[in-house]
Amino acid sequence: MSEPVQNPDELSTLLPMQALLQKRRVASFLASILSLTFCLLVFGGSSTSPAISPGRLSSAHSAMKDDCAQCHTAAEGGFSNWVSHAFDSKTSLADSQRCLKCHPEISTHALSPHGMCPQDLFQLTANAQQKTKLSLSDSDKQSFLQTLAEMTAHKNQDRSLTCSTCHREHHGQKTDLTDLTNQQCQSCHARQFESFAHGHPEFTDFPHERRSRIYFDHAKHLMQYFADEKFAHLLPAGTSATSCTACHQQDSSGRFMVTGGFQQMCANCHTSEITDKVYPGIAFFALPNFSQTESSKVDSVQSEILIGEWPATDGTNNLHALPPFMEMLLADDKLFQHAKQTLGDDAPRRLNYASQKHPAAVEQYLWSIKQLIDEIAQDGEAALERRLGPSYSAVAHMKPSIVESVISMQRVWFPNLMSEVSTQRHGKPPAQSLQVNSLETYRGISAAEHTSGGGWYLSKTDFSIRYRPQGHADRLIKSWIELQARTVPNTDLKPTGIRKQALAKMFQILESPTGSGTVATRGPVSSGRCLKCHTADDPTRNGQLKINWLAFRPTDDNKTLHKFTHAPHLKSRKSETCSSCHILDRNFTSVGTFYRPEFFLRDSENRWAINTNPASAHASGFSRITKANCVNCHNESAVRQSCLTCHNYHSCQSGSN
Amino acid sequence: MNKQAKRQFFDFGIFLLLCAAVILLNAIWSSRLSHTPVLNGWVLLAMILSLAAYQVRKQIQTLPFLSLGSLSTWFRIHKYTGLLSCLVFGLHINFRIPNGTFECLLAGLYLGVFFSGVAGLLLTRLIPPRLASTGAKVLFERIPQQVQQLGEEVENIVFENMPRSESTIIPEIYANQLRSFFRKPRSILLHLLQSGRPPQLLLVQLRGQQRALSANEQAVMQEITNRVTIKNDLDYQFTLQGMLRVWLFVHVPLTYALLVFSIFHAVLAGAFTGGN
Repeated sequence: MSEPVQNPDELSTLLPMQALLQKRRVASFLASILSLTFCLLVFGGSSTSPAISPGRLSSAHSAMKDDCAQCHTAAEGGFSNWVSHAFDSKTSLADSQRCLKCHPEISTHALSPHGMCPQDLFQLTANAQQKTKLSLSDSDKQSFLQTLAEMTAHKNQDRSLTCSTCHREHHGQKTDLTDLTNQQCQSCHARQFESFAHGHPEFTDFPHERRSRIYFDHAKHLMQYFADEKFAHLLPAGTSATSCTACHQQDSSGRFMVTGGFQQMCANCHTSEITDKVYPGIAFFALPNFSQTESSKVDSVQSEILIGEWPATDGTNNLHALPPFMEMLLADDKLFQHAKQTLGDDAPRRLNYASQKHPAAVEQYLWSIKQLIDEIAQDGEAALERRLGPSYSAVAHMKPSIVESVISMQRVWFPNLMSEVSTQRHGKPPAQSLQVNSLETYRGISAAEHTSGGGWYLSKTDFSIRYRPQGHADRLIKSWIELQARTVPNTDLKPTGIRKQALAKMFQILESPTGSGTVATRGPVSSGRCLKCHTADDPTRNGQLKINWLAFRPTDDNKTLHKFTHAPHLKSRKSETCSSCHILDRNFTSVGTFYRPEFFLRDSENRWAINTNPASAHASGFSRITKANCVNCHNESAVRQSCLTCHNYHSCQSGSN
Repeated sequence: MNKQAKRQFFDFGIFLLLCAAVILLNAIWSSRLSHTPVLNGWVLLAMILSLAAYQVRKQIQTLPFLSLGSLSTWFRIHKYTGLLSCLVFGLHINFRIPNGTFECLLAGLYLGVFFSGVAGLLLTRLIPPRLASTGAKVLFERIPQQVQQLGEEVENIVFENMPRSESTIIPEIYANQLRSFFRKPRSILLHLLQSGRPPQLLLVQLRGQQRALSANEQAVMQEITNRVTIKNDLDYQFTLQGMLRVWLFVHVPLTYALLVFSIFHAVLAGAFTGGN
């Protein structure tokens, strides 16, 4: 008899082995249940568990620690929320918006490629493709890896790019979130190349992808003016004629070389050019040429033209058309406009002759002007505001005001104007036409009104009120230029056509770089010539101008696609100077080339006018900087040559400094 | 080179090519703006699922209208995919120890599955030749029955000869040593280490008693000794054949746990990398 087995464990070992498979299934089931339980415990909460950690944050973000929801929208809910986010392609965009909460400095189009407006990027791409149409040379051939990489090129060009496309977190405290390889940078680019030294396109117009804000001809100044001893005493104090740092100093970042202001840099030579005391200045108000005597010679009916007092303008160099400012003031005077229509635009010069055929029109023409003078003399700026209408009321308050000069005009040339206008209002003609001896009366006015170095004055030569800039940054001239700059042709507040045209004529005068571009007179009259140096940009080509009153100043808004920091280059190689890279183009300046096409163009009447396209390339008198300048140092064997050495990804504007 | 060697050479060549392809693909992803860990993570998950499918294939013999391929082909694919997955896993975790508890557990599960699989592979290579060298063909499932039968035979021999015995030596040896020896497999570890020591010790001990036994008792003892030798051979078979089965107790349950962890990890990664 065999003894029965006592120990159950021993019994189990003797059971058929079919039980093994069953046991394994039980073990597998238990393992699955245990794993599932653990995962549900970890993932089951309403927020992320501390048991989950994809990696340490970089030092820049280390303060966030365990607050995942600061960056991840998925972290705001539990597991079901995670599942929905895991299959939602917009999650990364929502996450990027969280990045931008803390990084508002990135531009409006932060999630567009390069942070640029898609249209701008499209244009930039088109330009770049145009420039780089040349085929690759043998030395520019791509590496095998790059060729393969192109096959998996990023197909996301037309869509938004999320922050995490380039910035990868959770790789440790020492991770540099902005560090990208050249291949990564080139992922989106159609043309790819091996390195800066091999394959990078040649510079086309670097660093002047746009013209400078202030026009300055370096070649002319350095080769002609500064080299001439007679100008030596005019250079800024302590300045060497050949030293670049006399005018250009590093900014606080060391990146840019910025210039000083007008007073420091330019005033010694150019102040007199602005005030132009030898020239008469701009006519804002003028009396037409009308002589009772001359009129009577050609007109037997001269007695019918009853205009009362009128100065002896006969024989003076009066204008052939009324100044634009007067046209603006008389725009709503229907009787005047009717008379003007009858007499023609050049009426001020031919009233004597016109009086034969159109005596009534001549009389009305002159009376309207006298009424205008009277009104301004009586009501001052209120009269100007009334006459200019709501759209141009700002003109009435421009300083210094013209009102005092108009009052002077009335006192000198129309001493009895008030009584004449009063009589005329009561339906009675003036007692008689009188020829005022203007010269005598003129002498009665204080010297300051006609001999000052700048500002308003009465001109006895052409019976006008003229204005000469009082110096650099003259308030009145600047206000007039800004008024036109802000006036967008198609969106203005419906001003009358006459005023709008008059304003345009005024701008034609003020924009003239030669100081001779009045509508009426060819010849130097001096406008201050502001826009000879200060450029006016119309990048959108809609007629609205941005006047560059200041030279380039480094600000956050100046972040462009490329960067160059002067400081390390000036420090690293003592033997090199500015001229190592900035080589004067000796062919740049020659007779007739001062008015560079990137700044000035001929208008329809063959007069010089400003070019409002800022995208015009301009080397400012220097030869174009080539890639060879940089490759000497930035190559495989010397200084680093990664994309990020010279390029910014995030751009706030497409232009350059 | 025989046919099997050629096939192994071919398989290994394909495996090396796939390794190169994985490394190259990872290099390309890394050189681009791709989310490399996400992409190679998906590859790894796909590999884990395909590896787990081998277990399903073993349960399914045939499917209508679809050829599943031979089980040996599946095993070859399973073997090389498993080895390749280790490379993808290394690239996925960037050859670093993960930070979080969950991620560490997940990595530990993967490594557990991988190394148990490698161990299983080695066992299937090493044990069959050792079993074949014994010359015996024993079904693993029948070993317990055979051992039980041997135990019963020894017990019968002892009890049947007890009345004729001149001494109590044999019953005492049976009660003290042989009874427990025949109840369950013995000396598993020593058998695993291919040690010949366990049978020798017992047999030497039994033979040492021969001088104190009568002629009749010596004949009985010889019968018992023969059965001890057979039991010892069965233990050896049980140990080695058991090892061929026991490693799956680690490999398969860990695979299920790995699948659960991986799915949660994939959801987590998808949600926190922005649905990519």
